[in-house]
Amino acid sequence: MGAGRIAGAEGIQAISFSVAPRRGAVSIIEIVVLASCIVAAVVVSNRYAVDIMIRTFLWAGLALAWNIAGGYAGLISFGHAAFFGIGAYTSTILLLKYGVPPWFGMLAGALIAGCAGALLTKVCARLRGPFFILSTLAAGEVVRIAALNWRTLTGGSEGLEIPPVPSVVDMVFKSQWPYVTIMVAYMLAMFALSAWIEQTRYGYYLFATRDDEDGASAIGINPSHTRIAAMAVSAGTTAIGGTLFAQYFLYLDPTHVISPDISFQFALICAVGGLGTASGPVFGALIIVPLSELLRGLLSQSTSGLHLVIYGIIVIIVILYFPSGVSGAISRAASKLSLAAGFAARVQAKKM
Amino acid sequence: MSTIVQLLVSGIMLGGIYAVMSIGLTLIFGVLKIVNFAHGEFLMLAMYVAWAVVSATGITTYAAMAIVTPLLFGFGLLVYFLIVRPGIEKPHLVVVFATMGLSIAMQNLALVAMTADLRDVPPLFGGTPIKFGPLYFRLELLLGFLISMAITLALMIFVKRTYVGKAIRATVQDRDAAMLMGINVPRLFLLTFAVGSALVGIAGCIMLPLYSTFPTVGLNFVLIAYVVVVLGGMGSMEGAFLGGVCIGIVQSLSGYYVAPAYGQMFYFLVFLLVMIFRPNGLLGQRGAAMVGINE
Amino acid sequence: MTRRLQAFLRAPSRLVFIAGFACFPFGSAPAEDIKIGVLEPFTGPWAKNGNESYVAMEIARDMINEKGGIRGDKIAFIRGDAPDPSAGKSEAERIINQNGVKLITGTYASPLGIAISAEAERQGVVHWETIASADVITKRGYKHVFQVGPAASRYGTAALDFTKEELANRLNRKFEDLRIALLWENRAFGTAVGNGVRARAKDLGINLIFDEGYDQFMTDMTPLVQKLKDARPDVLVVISFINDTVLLHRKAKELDFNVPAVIGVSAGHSVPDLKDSIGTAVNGLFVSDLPVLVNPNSLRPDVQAAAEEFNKRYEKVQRRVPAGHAVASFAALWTLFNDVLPKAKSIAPEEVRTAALSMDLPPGSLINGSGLKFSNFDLPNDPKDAGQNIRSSIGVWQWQNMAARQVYPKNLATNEIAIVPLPDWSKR
Repeated sequence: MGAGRIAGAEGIQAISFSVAPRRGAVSIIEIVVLASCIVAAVVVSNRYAVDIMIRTFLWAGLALAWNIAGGYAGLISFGHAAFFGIGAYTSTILLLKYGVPPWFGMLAGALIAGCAGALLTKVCARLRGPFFILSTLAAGEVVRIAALNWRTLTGGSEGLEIPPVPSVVDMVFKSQWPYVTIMVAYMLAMFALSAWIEQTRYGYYLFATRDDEDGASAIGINPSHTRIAAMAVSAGTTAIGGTLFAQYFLYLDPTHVISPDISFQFALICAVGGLGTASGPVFGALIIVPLSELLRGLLSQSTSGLHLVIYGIIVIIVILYFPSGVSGAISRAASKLSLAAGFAARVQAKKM
Repeated sequence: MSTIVQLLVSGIMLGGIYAVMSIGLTLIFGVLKIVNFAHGEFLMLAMYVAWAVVSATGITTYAAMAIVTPLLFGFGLLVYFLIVRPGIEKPHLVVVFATMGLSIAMQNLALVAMTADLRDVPPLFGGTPIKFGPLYFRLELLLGFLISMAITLALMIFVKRTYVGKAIRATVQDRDAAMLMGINVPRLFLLTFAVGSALVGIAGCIMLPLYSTFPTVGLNFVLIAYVVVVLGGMGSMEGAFLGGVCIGIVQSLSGYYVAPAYGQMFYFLVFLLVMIFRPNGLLGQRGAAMVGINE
Repeated sequence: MTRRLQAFLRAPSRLVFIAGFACFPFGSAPAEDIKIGVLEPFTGPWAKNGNESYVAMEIARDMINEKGGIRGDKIAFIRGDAPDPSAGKSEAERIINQNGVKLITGTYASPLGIAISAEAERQGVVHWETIASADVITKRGYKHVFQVGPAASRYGTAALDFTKEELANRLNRKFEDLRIALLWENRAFGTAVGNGVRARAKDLGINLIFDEGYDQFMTDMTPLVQKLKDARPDVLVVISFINDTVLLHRKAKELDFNVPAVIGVSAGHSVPDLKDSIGTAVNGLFVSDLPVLVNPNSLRPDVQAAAEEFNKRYEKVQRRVPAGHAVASFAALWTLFNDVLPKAKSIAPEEVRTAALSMDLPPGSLINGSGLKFSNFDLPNDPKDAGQNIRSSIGVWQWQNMAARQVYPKNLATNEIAIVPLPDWSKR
């Protein structure tokens, strides 16, 4: 696949482009997909479809956030819902108790979550593989149970409700358009962050640490600091998504917000879409979110639970047959295509 | 005084039951190095099958083990061929997510087939406890504990004395070296996964008199199973037993002396502490937690 | 697996995906039917209650359609699966926008009720809440949300009032001397009811000698029951869901925990299946809940007839008697179909609202003994409250001979109180 370089004006780092998704370059396919998302956001007016889009873009952003730790740094976390919840609850509590606009509240949430993420990684520094995964799961559950029981702070199981009074300052809107815009912006920002990480030195440190820790430290990278930084960024950006969630849904309760199901969803979207690439989580969200919503809408008229049986089976099949995710499959298909194209071109050339 | 003895005895016996539920998992985890997220649903299936057998024939769940165990063995084979084997050479996460999909599918298949109603079996002696001095406990609890101990012992002997057992230990330590030594690792994987599932079948029979079954019952137990496995040390039979007993005691004492509202928090905290200070678990391979899995 | 098999398996998943897109709108009904959205937890941890409530609602729909519907138009349901609040919101969004529904109902559990009613209000459709009891549902200034069942705090109040009026003398004690223990499951309902009990206890000037919440995933009741045993209560008020209730009573038998009176609050204690799980141990347990079978003399004659028909049909379909939530779901929909909608000029939200607010039905107008009168920012001690049915009934029934028998309040009661104090386990 060709990689073209666009040299920007003085001072702007060159961005590499490519045809199909690969690490370290923004592919044309990704640009097309993202552009279609933006177009769809503007054009589609059916409320139900827009609701699905809002969720899809939000989950894409959240999955991209997870991917920074899970895909790039190799820190597979099944407790990210805790950071999500920290973000959602921090901004909501600040809003309800002190009138702090969520635009600022989300920064506070991101900071707290970032510190929590750093702490978690420091504490679990020596753990690898399933041990790390289960530790994050345990940590997430600890946070959920704490939130459930700390009723004076979080409202406990009765939850917190944000009054649906439209106000730009309080990030509550009557129409869907502002929400769509915010979610698209979040997704694009996370995508840009991921692409930027991939193309800079920091990304290089991350991938080196993930793929070969000993080799990385041999050439002077500090794996521990790299990991902690990655998790902190991942946690903080997840927390921002949590705030956006709270502002759209206007109702939080610990059981449903800090749940392992949500943690799994982040990871599943990345796995289906392709871990370790910036486009993977986007593709994953574009598949998983509409799929589960549509299945539920389509099949819940009849037998209870049928839609989830089918969803589960689809997940199994997709994961087994697309282990590098959709973006991996696209890359392979694209490279086969370009090989075929190149071959055909040479054959043509020979004929002439 | 009698209170604390009661708490300890109940906790230990329940811990034995947690152990038998986790012992299949530690085998699978230790040998195949995969996380089976549908473990809770295997247990749910075992309980439903046991219930069906008991309701249809009237035999006790302990007798039903003779039917449930081979059925779960077969189910393990099926899942291995369809889901685990295609995923095992691929990145580790593939099996994690595939089993997650399996978990969702199984929970809801149970909902569709059996509805959300609770299913029970009649208790022995009508649920009247055995009284042992100031202590009370149900016969099923004691039986479950004894069976769990027996299974753990049997597995320990198996793992230490037989060829297959040695092959298992070798594979837990170092898969590649085991292959080099001539062990048929793929077939061992198959056997281990099926046997691990069969062990869950036994667990289901033991647990059914104590817990009703319903489609999401697995969720109550799967996290405990993982905590027990990691606490005890991946691949260690006696570790699983010890881990189970520890968790049972922690649950019992914390529920009484602290607050039951915090429920699982205590053993998650115990888990995290063990992970920080002794990541290989109580009786596990040294260095296992740091090596993790070979990808 | 062979490549061909892999390819074969990939096809169906694509098909389902495409089929899904091709199927706007979902769920369809003939044009002249009145479409009502029903949001219940059909999957997830509340699946049993959601599905049973739906069966009851279907009976209400069938019965009204057999009578000719509302002015000749039949009622049609569009289902939405709401296992959790955000799924519920999404389903509500879908039903309201894809199917043009103007009235939705459901939802069983408080988190669902809170989130879904907010969505309904946002979109300007009426939400007819059958059971979810969170007090906050009617205190948000919403104009189109109607809570037909009682608020959570009243469940606990009924338990304590019952204790004061009926249990104290039967236990040969003064009410103020009774040792009362409170045990609550720490999800929304349990917490809210627990708060109600605590507040009522304070009003009545008594101390709870035991007040513990516990986690829904509790797999071992030993420490809890041991703690209760050590507290030696006279009355145990407990809010637990079905699985925990079974575990609690089994463990109570195992550890020989004896208490003279147990008042379970709704949820696990009110489910008919409880007798299948713990057998004769149910007899004597009190349940503070939505009434299930009330004194026929307390009901309006046509309502009594509806109650009998409902019970007949429900038992035919489910092969057991309806639980409190099923009865309440039917009751809420039956009064909607029978009393409210006929009075509304159309299904438009403003018309339904006007009709609902005009309701002034005395107790005995719903099959569980409730009346129907909604607050409208006019309660003297709570001017922010709107949409609460201040005549919803809460009572106490008792398990007698493995069946539910209403014992309180007197006007709804079908039987006398019995089995007080509860005999020790050794004598049962």
